[in-house]
Amino acid sequence: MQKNILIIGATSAIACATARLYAACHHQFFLVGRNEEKIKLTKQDLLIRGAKKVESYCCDLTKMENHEKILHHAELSLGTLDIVIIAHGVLPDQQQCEKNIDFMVQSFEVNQISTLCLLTLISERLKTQGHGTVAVLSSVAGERGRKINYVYGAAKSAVSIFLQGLRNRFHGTGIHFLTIHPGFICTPMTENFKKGRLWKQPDEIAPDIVKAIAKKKDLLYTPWFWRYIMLIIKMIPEKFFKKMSI
Amino acid sequence: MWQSKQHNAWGDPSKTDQESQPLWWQHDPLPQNSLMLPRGNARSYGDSCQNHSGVVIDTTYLNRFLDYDKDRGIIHCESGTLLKDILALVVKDNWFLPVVPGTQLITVGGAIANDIHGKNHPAKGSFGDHVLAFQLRQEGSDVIHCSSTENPDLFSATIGGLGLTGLITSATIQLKSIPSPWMAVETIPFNSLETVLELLQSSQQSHEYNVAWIDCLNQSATKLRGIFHRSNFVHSETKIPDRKNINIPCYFPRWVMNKFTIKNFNRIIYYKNKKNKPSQLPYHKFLFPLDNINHWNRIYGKPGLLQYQGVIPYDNGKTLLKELFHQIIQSQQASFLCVLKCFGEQKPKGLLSFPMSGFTLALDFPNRGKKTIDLLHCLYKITLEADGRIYPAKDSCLTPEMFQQGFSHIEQFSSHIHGNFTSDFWQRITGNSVSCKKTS
Repeated sequence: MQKNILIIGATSAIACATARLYAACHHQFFLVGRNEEKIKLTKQDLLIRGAKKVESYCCDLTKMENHEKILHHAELSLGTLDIVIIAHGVLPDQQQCEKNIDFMVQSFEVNQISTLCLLTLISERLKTQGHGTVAVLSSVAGERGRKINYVYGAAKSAVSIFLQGLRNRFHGTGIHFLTIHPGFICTPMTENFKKGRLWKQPDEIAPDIVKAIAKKKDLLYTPWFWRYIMLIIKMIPEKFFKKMSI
Repeated sequence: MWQSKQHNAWGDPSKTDQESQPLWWQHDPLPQNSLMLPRGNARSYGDSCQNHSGVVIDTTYLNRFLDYDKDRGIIHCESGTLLKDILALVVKDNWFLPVVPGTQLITVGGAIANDIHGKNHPAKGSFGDHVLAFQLRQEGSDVIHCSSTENPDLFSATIGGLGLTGLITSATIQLKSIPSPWMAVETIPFNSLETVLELLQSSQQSHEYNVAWIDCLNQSATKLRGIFHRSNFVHSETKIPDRKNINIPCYFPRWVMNKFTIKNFNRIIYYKNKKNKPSQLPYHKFLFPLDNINHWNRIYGKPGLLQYQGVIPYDNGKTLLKELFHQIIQSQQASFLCVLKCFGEQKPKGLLSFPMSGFTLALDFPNRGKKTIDLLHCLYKITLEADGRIYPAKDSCLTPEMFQQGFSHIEQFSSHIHGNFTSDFWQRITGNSVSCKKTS
C-alpha cells in the first residue's frame, strides 16, 4: 500500500538512506530541510529511485513559527501522514558548550526543543487522523551522561523521555511512536571521530529502521548489539561510572 | 562484527594509518594545502587508490542519481554511485551498462578513472567509450564540464587518468538496451592454448561476452586446460532471483592458499564446469561471480594478493602467451583466478587507457613476497618486450621504466595532472618512491 511519508531533516545521511528504501516501494514524500540545494538533490534522487511524488519545504527548524507551516504544507501535499521521520540534529562541540551558554542553548534548540515542539504538533494531527507512525532519531548518547558529549546526550535523553510519554498517552489509539537509538554511524555529524570496528554505514542501519516502523516497535537499537552495550553501560553504578573515561 | 568499509587497496589488506576524508555533497570543500587523491570503493588491487603522502577523498557517499532518461537510456549520477545500484535501477527497464568489469561493487568515478573493461571489449570497447560527459572539480576552480566537445583534452586525460586530473563529481553515461536481465551461457571445456585462442576469436561474431578460465596448476604450458564461457543477453520473462551473500569474516591463515588446496580447487572448478551444457543465468551470476562472497580477498590472508594483468598484441600472441604460461606454471604460484580475454581494435578515449588490440591475461598470486614480485617482473618483461602493457589498476610493482615502455602518452597526460592530486602509484612510477609493495 502506498504511504505518505514526511521527513524532517531529510538531508541527514540516515534519513536519506531510509528514504531510499521507501522510494523503491513507490511511496510519496514531503521533505523538510534547511539547505535548498541539498533538498533538491535528495528530491531528484528519490524520484529516480521510484518515489511516486516528492515535494519539499526549506526552513530553519529552530524558528518554531515554521513548524505549523511545515505541517500545513505537508498535509496539503500528501493529505494524510502515514509515517513521520524526525532526523534533524547537530553534534555540538562539547568544550564550546561548556564555555558558551548561548552556544549550548542553541544546540538544545536544534536537538531538543524543535523536536519536542514538532512532536506535540504532529501528535495532535495524528490524533485527528486516527493513525500514523512517528519515528524519531534519538541516540545512545542519551542513555547515560558522559563528559565527552553530555550536552548532546541530555537533549536526546529528553527526546527519548518525551517519546515514552507520548507512547503512553496514545496507547491503544493506533498511533505509534518509535525511538531510534543509532550506535556509531558514519555520517557528516561524526566525521571527525576516529572510526573503528563498531562503526556502520547509514545504508546498513536503514533496513532496521524500515523494519521497526513496519513492526510498530517502540524502541530500536541499531545495529542490534548496541542494546547490549547500553545495557551494560546503564548497569554500571554511578559511583564507578563517574570515575570512568568512556 | 567486521569493518564495514574497505579502506585499503583490494590486494593489500595490511593496515594503514592513511587519512581518509569523506565527501558528502558535491560542493563540500576539498582538503586545503594537502596532497589528495579521490577514491571510490577501493577495489583497485594495488596502490593506485592509495595516497600516503596526503589525504584520500572518499567519494562513496556521492551516490545520488541526478537524472535518468528511460526512453534514451541515459543516466546522470554522482561519481560515488556503485555500478550495482545503477544496474538495480536500470535493468528493470531493460537497460544495462555497456561495459562492466568482474565486479559491480565499483563506483562510476573509479570506472572512469581506470577506464575499466569487461568481457565484451571487442563489441563495446571500454567504459570511457560510453561516458557522454562528466563534471570535474579541481582545487581553486569552478566545476569543469568535460565531454568530447567541451574541454576534450581534459576529458581524454581524465578517462583512465587514475584520479590525478581532479575529482569527478558526476557523470552522464549512455546505457545499452538488453532483451532481459538473463544471459544464455555456453560453457566449453578446452585442452590446449590453440583451442582457446581459436574459440576466443571465432566467438566474437556470435557472442558479445567471451572469457576463458584457465587452470594454471594442473597442466603443462603446451597442454593448458580450462573452461571457455561465451554469452549473450536473451529474452526471458522470469524474474531474476535474489542472491544470498556469504561473508569471509576474517583473514585466512597464510597456509590455506597452498599448492595442494589451490590445485584441488581448480580441479573442482574444471570438472564442475566440464559438462558442456548451455544454461540461462541472471546477469549477476555470470558477470559478477565473486560479488556474493564479501571480502573474498581475505582468503589470501594478511599478506594479500598480487595480480598480473597485461595485454599482448595479437601478432605473435600465441608464442608470447605460451611463454607467459610457461613461467607461471613453472613457478607453481598461481591461484584459482586466471582469466584470458580479447581486446578489440578500437582506440580507447583515454590517454592512459589500458586496453589495446590483443589478448589480455589476468591472474592472482598469493603474495609470497620477493618470490612473487620476481615472477611478476618476469611476466612484465615478456609483456613489455612484445609492445604490450600492464594494467595500472591491478599493479603493485611496475618500475618507472616499465610504465614508460607501456604507455606512450605519459608526457601529454602529465600536463593535465592537477597540482595537488597524486597517488602512491603515481609517485612510484614517476620515480619519487621506488619502493615496491611490502614484501610480506
